[in-house]
Amino acid sequence: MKTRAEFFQREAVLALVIIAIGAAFSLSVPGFLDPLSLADRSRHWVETGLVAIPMTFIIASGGIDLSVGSLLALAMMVSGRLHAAGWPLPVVMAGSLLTGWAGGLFNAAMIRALRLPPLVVTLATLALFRGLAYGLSGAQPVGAWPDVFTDWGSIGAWRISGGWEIPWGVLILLGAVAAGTALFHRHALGRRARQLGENPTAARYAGISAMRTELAIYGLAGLACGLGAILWTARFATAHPGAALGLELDVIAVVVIGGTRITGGAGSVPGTFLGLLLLGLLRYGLDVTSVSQQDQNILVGILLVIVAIFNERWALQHRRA
Amino acid sequence: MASIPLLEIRGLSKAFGGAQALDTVSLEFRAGEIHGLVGENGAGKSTLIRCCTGIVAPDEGKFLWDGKLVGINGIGPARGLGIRAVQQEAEFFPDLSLAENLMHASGNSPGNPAWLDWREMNASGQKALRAFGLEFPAEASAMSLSVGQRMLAEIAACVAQQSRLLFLDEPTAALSVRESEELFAHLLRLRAAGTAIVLVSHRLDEVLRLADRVTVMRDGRVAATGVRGEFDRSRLVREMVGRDMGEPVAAVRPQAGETILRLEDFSDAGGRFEQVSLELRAGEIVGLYGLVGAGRSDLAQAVVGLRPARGRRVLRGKAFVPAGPAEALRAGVVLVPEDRRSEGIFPTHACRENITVPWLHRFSRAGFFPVRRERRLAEDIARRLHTRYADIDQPIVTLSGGNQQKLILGRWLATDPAVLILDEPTRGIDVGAKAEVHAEIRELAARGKAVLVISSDLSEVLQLGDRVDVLCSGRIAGSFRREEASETGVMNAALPEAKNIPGGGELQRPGNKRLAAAGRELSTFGALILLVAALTVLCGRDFASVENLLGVLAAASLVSIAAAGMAHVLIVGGIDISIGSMLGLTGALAGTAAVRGLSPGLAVGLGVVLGAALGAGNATAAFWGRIHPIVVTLAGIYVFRGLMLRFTGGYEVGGFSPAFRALTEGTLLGAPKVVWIAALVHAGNAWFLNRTLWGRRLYAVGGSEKAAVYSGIGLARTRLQAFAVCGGMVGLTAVLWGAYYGKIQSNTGVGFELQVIAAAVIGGCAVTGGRGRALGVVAGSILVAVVYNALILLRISSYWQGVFVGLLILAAAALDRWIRHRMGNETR
Repeated sequence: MKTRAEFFQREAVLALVIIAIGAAFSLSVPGFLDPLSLADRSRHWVETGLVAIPMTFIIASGGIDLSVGSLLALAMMVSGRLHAAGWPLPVVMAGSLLTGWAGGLFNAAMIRALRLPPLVVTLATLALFRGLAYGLSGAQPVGAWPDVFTDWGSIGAWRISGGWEIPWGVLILLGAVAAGTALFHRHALGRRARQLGENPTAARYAGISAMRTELAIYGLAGLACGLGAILWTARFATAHPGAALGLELDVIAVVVIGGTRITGGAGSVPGTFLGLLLLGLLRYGLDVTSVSQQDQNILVGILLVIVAIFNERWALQHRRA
Repeated sequence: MASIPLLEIRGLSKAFGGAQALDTVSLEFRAGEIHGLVGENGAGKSTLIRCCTGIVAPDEGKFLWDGKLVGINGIGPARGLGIRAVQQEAEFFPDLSLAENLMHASGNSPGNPAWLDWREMNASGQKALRAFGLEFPAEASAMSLSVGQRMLAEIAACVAQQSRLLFLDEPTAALSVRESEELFAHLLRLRAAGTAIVLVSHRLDEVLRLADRVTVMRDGRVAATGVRGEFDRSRLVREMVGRDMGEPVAAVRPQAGETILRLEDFSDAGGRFEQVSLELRAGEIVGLYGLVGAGRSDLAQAVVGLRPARGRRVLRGKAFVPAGPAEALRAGVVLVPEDRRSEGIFPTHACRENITVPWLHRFSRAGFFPVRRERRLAEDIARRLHTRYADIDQPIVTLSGGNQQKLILGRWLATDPAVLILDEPTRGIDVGAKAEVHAEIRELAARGKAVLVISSDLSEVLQLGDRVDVLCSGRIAGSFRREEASETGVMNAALPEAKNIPGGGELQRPGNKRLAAAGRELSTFGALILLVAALTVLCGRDFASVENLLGVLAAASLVSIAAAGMAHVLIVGGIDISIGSMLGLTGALAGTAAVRGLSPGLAVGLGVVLGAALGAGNATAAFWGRIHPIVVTLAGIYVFRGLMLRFTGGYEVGGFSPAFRALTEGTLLGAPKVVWIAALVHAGNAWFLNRTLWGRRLYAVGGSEKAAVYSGIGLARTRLQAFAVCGGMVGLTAVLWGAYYGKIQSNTGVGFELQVIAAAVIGGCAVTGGRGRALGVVAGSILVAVVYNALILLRISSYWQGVFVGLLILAAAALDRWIRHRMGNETR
């Protein structure tokens, strides 16, 4: 089948690029592909990956969410305040998830109620949520988390055998990828999101509710931020209001590299996962070859623009689903 | 009369997709003649006009102008010859004044493009209007005029430009009787002056009264052409409809069953149709015929709740008031919309996905569906409708129009509705597919569905309809049973006559909406005054001291210069969120050059040029790459910041010479220098936005892209200019920042874009483009600075700043939305 072949083409190319990146770095950096260090490194990518999955839905629906980094920080500081006030861990974690969800719903509600472009709304909430994170915490990080919580984030892992282990965060991410793939490609929500992005007028005539779809997908993005905030706090053993600054760049880059059209209508969650592997491996390689964070950002930014343009021109040529 | 025609068309052909819109048309238009052009909808009249005015390139054919071969390949060349057209739906810039609309439509400015003389523009606009007997003020915004008034104004504008060949496409459709009569008087005067006029109209009486020569088009060809004397109404009607029926009319039709859906006194809230009564019965096909503007599609949309309407809808004896298509679908009423491309299909998605949209839940469990089952169900439907496709998973856009239409029909059939409303079910599909679609529609009725077929294709309505209702100017003008319905009878009912035309009263005088338009800026100033008053009461002399206020002004100045640039980008319909990093990068580069000995003046120049180059780069990547500027400028945040840090190595740029610092240091007449510089910039900005053609074109492109294209304004050029100007302003801000604060640090400008966008949006720039003023940006910037100052004075931690910026952006955008909404309602 032609379209399915095309669909897998992108994934195949991504896989090849990932292998090429891995090979190139392991030639110059001995031990680059050591499973232990890779497994350890993979922790750093869990939050980005978690948020990138719902972001795939959002971008496929023709929207965008710039506020994810700020929302993650806000959820983190709300749970930090709960923790500092002596609430038990389950309540603290529920607080983080609820805060994230509420923030996502707020974004969707503003977009629909005020009929504003998602870009303007989430640019405003980028400032708003970050401001709340700083304001609520008085810019003070919250530390003193119990060992059971931080061990789980930093060293805790599912030990398979020998030196092999997979961090819990990565297991959660893999579960989320599987769930996201099912939701995007086998569930009405993903279908509706793509249809909304492809032709909003036709979607309206066909009885698709833009409001319900947007509440669901921006809400999911918020939930992912709340979950990411928990994992982040556990990993660093501290809740910091300046956390996840600029998260949106990597998240959007991962989604776009994965083959989701920035103008909406097409997307792929497995593609997003491969995009995450690609960007993660690239950043890891650049880290170990001592390329500064800022120089990496230059590369990621240029990569984002080139791939976005490529997707658009590719999509126009091939009209792929 | 001259023997050589003004424009001779030879063998003109044009196809759209599979449909042949024009088929070797040859025609002559002569100077000093009115040429009436009539034909059914879809006969090719509009395409002919669009080819002759350079909007559409023909596939084949030649144009002879004054006997000489010419190429009409674009709007510019057509205008150069003196060819003008007034389109059916006049394209206007809604936010601009009538006089300015006329200026853009004419493609040139009165006098100097760098110093537009508004008085002269208004005067010449007024003159053009008055020469046409139109008394409304040229300064009124185009939005405040009725459709008919706009049409007249546009005709007046074309006449004022001394066009030699004037196309008018249904000019009287939206006019009252009195307005029409005035128009005719002008047309006769123009004819006497030697202008060639092509009048397209469904109103045959008009054509027979005014035209010297008449052409009837049918199916993209010339069916008949000759001098007026050769035609009368009945011959025109005959020529319009006289086609080979092609397909036999089904002889035996089952008896109609019970009434399923009834409309009683059904009227559109917007007046598109009035007091329509219709009855749809099980097993019966009702054909609804009407010409352009009769209100057919509006009626269909209103039935399923897409348009607000009054009157009664009764479905199986119960009141039926759906909030939208989803609710109508649940009740068993389905609308297959008219425009397949824009309202029907999801073009790049698989046929399978296009088919199952409204009934996905039928084979889903908790929202999850098995794709294999979906594929099988979709294939069943595609096969039942005899669709030709290779793979049910291929993108639907790769199928022919006819096959697309069958699948869309199949999408709705599968929901098993009780009532089907089909709006133009066979538009733009070939004859074979059409017969198949018709057979399917009959089959539906045979299975007991109530079917309403809305069409502007007369033969279709007659072939399908068990009954035919005719809609004319929004009212039911005739009802025929199958045996009574004849082509001429139905056509006669559909053609408006002078006595049926509603309105015909006074020429409406447009209200003056300038105050309303200024309301947005006034509200900013109002908010500013309230805020200042509140702070004076709360903080006393802490706030209301000369020192503090001057400090606030100085802080506002830097933001306001960048916001003035951002206004250009927002007005043209874009956004640039990279300006914070752009400020850092240009500041570091120009600052370093200054430290190394570049004179302060040249450093300013360098900053402006660098910023303009970065802005232009953003625009080029976005518009060449066909992606939204948000992606490019999001990447720009990190790329520019990264480049800056590479350049500075993370160290701050400082140690400027006193001469450099003197750019902003010190005061002039008691106010800080930066305030004076900002004032200068804003004066220049006000000049640019209000007084230059290039400034006004920003509003044109942002207000209506389509109208801008028709006016021959270069979209890419205008957008590039806006982004470059924004970048240049940011570069200027960067150099001044260095001089004012004495250093550019690695994080200088982080988050600056938020303040700037907030200032511009609060100042009245619409995030959707088309609106914004220089003075508003000043007010917005001061307001943002006052809010920041208030946070400090009220001892609110600076950590909360982001909250206030975010809320300000949301509140300003919401306010803008609300004011627009109010104005929109008033206009209606």
